[in-house]
Amino acid sequence: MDENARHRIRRRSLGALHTVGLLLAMLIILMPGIWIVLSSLRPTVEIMAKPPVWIPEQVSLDAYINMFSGVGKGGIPVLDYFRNSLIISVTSTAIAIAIGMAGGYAFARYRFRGKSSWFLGVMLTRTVPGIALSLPLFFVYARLGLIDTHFGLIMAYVALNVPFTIWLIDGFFRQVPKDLAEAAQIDGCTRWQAFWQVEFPLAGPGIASSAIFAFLTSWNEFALASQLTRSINSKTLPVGLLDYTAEFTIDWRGMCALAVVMIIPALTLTFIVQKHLVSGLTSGAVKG
Amino acid sequence: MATVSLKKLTKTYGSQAVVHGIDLEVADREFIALVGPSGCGKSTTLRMIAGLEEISAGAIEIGGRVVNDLPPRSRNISMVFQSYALYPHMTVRENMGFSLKIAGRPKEEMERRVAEASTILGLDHLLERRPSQLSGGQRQRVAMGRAIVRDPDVFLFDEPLSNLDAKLRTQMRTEIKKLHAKVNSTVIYVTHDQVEAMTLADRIVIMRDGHIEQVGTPDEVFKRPRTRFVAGFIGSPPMNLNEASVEDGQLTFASGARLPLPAQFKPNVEAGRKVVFGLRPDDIYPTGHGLHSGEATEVHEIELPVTVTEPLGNETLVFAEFDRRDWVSRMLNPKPLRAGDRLGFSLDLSQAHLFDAATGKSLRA
Amino acid sequence: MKLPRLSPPILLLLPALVVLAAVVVVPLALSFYSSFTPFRLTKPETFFVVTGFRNYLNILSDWDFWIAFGRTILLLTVALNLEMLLGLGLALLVEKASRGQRVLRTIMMFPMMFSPILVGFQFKFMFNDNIGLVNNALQSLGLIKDAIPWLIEGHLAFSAILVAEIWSSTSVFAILILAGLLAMPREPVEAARVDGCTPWQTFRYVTWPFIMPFAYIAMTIRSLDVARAYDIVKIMTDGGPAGRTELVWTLVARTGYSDAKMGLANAMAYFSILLSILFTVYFYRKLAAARSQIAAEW
Repeated sequence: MDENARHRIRRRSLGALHTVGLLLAMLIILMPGIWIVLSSLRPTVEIMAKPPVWIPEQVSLDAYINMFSGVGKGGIPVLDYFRNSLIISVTSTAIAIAIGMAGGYAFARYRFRGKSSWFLGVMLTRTVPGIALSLPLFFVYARLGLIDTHFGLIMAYVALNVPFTIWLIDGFFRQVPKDLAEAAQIDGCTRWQAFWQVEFPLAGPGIASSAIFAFLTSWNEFALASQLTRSINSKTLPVGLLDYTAEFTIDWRGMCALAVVMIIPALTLTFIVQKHLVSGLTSGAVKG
Repeated sequence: MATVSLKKLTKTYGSQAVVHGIDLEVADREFIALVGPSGCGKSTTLRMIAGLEEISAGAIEIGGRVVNDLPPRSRNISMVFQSYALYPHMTVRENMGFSLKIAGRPKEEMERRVAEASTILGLDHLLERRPSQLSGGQRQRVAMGRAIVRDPDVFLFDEPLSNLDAKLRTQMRTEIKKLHAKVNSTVIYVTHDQVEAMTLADRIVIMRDGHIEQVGTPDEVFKRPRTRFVAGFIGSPPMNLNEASVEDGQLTFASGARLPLPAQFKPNVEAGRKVVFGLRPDDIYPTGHGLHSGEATEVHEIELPVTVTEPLGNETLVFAEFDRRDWVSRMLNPKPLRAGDRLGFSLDLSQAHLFDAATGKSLRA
Repeated sequence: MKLPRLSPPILLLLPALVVLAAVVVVPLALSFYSSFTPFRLTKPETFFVVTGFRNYLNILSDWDFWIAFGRTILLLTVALNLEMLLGLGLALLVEKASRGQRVLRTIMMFPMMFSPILVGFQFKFMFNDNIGLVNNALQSLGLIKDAIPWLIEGHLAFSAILVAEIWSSTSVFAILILAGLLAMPREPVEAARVDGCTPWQTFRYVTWPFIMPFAYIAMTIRSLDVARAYDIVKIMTDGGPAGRTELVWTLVARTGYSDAKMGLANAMAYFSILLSILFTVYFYRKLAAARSQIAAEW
């Protein structure tokens, strides 16, 4: 009897500990983000207040209004950065996916000499740190007049994303049974038609997840962007964030607002992609 | 003493009760089978005994000790899982010796026990293999070896033969029976196959929808089923069951067909009662071709049209139409028959069963 | 003129190869060449002067470089190990949760989706000695009197960067290990419980062998991106103050862009590339071994 009670108590307390641990972990993960959002809504006076004010007393969207209503003294050209980030990310993603689909399909469906070496080679290009690549790229682009252009950065991001999209899409195509395309061909389709009618729709969700992942990689990239852009013609949000942090008198509230603007697309896409991303990474890697 | 007691054992998921306060006493060294259709709660009950599921209410005692909240490792039990649950990254030897290793037993003892179990189960030549290199039957034997190495109070089997093909199943059934004779411990065995239960168990527990329908020896549940459900569940081919009502000392069926009320039920059953009439295929036979031909006491002769025959070699299952249903009958010394033939059948009414149509309970005295 | 017939797979791979060659391979080749020159952007003609291994020799004898290099390795090693442990713990916690799994998994993925610049910014804000959350909280709770100079003092700044880096990447491990935990067959774990294992023993003998490949996948993926730390450091301390948090990458950027010594910077960059490749290859090997083991047994 005593033994039973002991185990029962132990089980209950472990359960409680588990819940506490989980809550703590979630809190740690969410805290920085929450704090930034809060700060973007409070007047600078409150942020700087000593002793610190914990519960926001004044809440306003002023920071955001300032941001989007115009440049002006001390204002951040958010709209330009946002526009640049959007154009560059979307375009580079589209191209990277197209190339990735072709490459991923090649690895998934065909056997050819040196296949694993090619695969490894493609993957290895990804290991080059952004900043290391930026040096020669800067030099080459300077020669070609590609500095501070959308095109230059787009090309760089395509190259950055292709290895990963190939890996993921390869994995997703492998999950589609080969027989289906063959059945379609027997039914009268050409290989091209069979691909678009059968294989592509089935790998669709996975390809969409790869697209989202590539988009986020481009959206968040800093090292290359910082060197290959010069003005609001092509500066992206991450570069913008750094530029304004470096200023001597820091408009913390404005910075936080900029940070929030950067985050929103990323978070919404996270929610959509979470299930597929993991399955793509693990199936492509474990079953090989 | 490895007795097992279940006292008002209950399991609920949210507001849904899956096991409704069952009581059971298992004697030391007894082989008990829990049988029933899918979802009847037999696996859940077993897992509660093992400690893999939490108990919602009631108590479980093993060897007289209450074990309600104890984790599996403190209950001194062994379990053989439906999918064998072998450790894939360990050899057969390591699989079998694992529990002893965890318990910190000395190496010589480990080796001795593993060798013993391996010999009993014929695994000696497989000891260094990994589970992925074994066949289904071999894996099952390793799982059993793992269970017997520890010499626990109680063995639990969770549908161990379900994943094997029919022929292997029959083989392994015999092996398990021999094993029980040798090891002689208390066994609680869950299966949905009533043949397994009948051939292996000392006593059978038939469960349905979280309740116990009947507990008894194979002979008892076969000859004296207490409910309509048990009657239809035990026995292969299953008992023929038809609904009828009692009128003027006779049974009137829906189609209008009539049979005399069997003598043993006359005192218990009043006129107008709605009942279910049951007769096993052994107790219906083309006249002269039955098991008890010549010895039966209360035989009623009736002519029925034959619908289908299933020749099995030494006997034929003859399907004949009665009350718009096909009755299964066993024909020994079979003669060729054609569909549509009208044949004289003998019904051994002394072996008939009668159940209340509403409650399903047996109306036997 | 008849074009040579290319097999379909090569044709399909061609765009990828062309882009990678143009944007990665060719520039890398150029940078490799330039590492053997005293190339300065301000004096383009120096590109064509070959001075052999002088850059590399300078680096090998440059004390500051080796400190930065050592600091980088220290950061990565500590970070990866802690991320693995914390990721494992988080995955185990989430796996046991009976409700709200989808919400938990989404929250777990958040840090992965933040730009490292953003992460750096968040923690720069939080560790700020005047208005940062950390100091304010500690002072309000009465644990400290004066503000702790998180981003000024060398060791503290290193720790602050470490925290930011760990916060950012633990979820990679957590998500992948969680995937492994969810994919694991249940019955061997139950058998282990019946066989007498305590929860720790169950983990050690049954759970861990199964999720090992997932942990290694995470390591490999993570090691592809070790240079993310550059973004974080750049915004939090930019290698300062006074080089106290200088990492290999910030040094490369400084040498190449601020000091305009491109040739030297490229030479340094190759050390950093070597570092990345070493990490990746090391973990990829472990992954391949674990993968074949899993395929054979499970």
